[in-house]
Amino acid sequence: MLKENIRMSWRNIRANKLRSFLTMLGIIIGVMAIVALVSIMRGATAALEGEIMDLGAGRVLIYASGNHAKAGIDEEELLELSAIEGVAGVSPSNSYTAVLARGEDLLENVTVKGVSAIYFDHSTEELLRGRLICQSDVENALRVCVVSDEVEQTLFFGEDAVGKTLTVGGREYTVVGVVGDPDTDLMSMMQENMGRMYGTAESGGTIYAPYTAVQEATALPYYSSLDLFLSDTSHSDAVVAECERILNQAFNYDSDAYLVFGMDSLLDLMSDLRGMMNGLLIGIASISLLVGGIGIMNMMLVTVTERTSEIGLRKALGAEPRAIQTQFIIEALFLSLLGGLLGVFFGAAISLLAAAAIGFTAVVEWSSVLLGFLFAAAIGVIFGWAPARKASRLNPIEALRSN
Amino acid sequence: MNSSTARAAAQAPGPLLVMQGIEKSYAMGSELQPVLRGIDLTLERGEFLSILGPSGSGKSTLMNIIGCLDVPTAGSYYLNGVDVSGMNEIQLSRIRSKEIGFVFQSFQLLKRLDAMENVELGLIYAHVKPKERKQTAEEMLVRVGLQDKLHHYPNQLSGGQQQRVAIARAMATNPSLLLADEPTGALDQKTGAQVMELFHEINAGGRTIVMITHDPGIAAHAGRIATILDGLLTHGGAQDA
Repeated sequence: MLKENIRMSWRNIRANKLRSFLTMLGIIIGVMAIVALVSIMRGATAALEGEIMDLGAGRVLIYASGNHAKAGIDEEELLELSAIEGVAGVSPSNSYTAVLARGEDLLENVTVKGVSAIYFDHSTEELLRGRLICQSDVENALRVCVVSDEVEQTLFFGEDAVGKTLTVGGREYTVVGVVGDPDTDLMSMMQENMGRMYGTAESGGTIYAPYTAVQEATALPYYSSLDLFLSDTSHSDAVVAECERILNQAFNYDSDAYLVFGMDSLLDLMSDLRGMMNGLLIGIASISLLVGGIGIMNMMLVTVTERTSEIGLRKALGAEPRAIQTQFIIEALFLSLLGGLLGVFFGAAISLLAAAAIGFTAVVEWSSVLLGFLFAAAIGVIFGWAPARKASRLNPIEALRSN
Repeated sequence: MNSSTARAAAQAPGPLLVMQGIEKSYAMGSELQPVLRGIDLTLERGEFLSILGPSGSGKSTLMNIIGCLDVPTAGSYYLNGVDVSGMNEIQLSRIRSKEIGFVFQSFQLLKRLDAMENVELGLIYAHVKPKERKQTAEEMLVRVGLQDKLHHYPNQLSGGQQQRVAIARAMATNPSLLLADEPTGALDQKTGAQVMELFHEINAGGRTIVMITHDPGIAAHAGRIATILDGLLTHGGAQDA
């Protein structure tokens, strides 16, 4: 009897294509929303997480804006921080913007980034030629620098910059290496956009010099930001706590004076956020499914009314009430599952299109597909139940009479 | 023919149908409106009975009770030895499946099923397996002369052909009783006569038939006529068919 019911349902749905489609629309949209939104969210956050990972897994960022009592982090605190258990190294940063000169040619708005030798171990810049800043450069505060290939292009006109000199803010530096620009990533795109918003002109490029040399140039005896590199990412929280302790002491518990930022806790935050967003999206999509269910119930009630004489006939032929009820529930289920299938199809299509348009890899989450399907099935049974029950209870005599 | 006699041997002895003192009233507001006022009816196996009456006589109500679509408010009804007068809907549906074959004035075929599938419908509710169902359905359609129309849909069949499909359907489950409600009501004279001839063949084969009608000419086809008026039955004598 199941096969016959399924066959009958299919014929009834086909006989009224437009009506069936409109009935299914709520379910289609609901499931489509679940599949598409969850998959898009997944893909987008995966891309973002990947970038954050590249940028700073195993890093703790410390920003010290200081206060009127103490302007930043000094050498002593730097050593204390390097000595924290779990810290592989510290790279203080004292970046500033300068004008580069080479003979008559000027290049404005260049970021001069003071780094320690450990910096390049953890960054994404690729060494193209020459060498990177090394420990003895830092120890001796040598005026050497590593330029980005963008700077090499603009200031050296395509010539190999290694070994040549340039002037940074009036001081002469020797180029020892060229690095490729770090991958164009979400973070730097964001930074660039922020810059544009706040009216700072486009960056002319970046050069890297030993922080000790830069310190000399800026004449600042303290550091305003540090990158702490962890040897073991699982101890991120402990290290962050220890940093805060040290900095609290340094700035006399003025919490506005500094900021400690563990990248790994950012990743955890992202994961929590993603979970929350997923839940929210599914909740919203479920509302649409609910509305779809109401649509199915409405249509089934109309169907039952239209087919009263058919129901009467089946009863006359010996159909028990249960058989009639089952028939109509299967029809409702058929509608909702078909709607679910179409919803999955469109949802997957949308998420693939969105991924292609925005530029990340679509990840069709099969768990969301299954969820959407199960919801659709449940909706079919729940909202089909009342009309089916009504059908099963029809009086056969009256039913036969209504022709 | 053989299956018919075999069935006869397996059945309970005595008349197929015994009704005594059947009353049926409907509630109209606070009052009870009596439709059947005490009907006695006995039907032997193999009989062809007409119940003749004008509209409002209660003939439809009587038919519903005979067909186990409804239960009487008073009185007893034994069908094939079983008291069906107090049964609930589920029990009645089983009796209908097993014992009754309906033929309606308006044919009542499902328009989205072809002839074969329409005939199989009763067999589905009798829980007959698919292979056997198809075999039986085909046999029945051949028997009513529709072997070329097995897969035609109702809208591809004439009125007479549709009624013959309905008759095939009614007989497919091998019921004890064929119950026909104005079977020629929607047909022209000629086609109606063809259907009546089919009924004669079926009856000659041993099937018990009860036919409800308001047309004396049609009623005369039966072996016995009972007239119903104002909820009471008058039994006419047996006729020569």
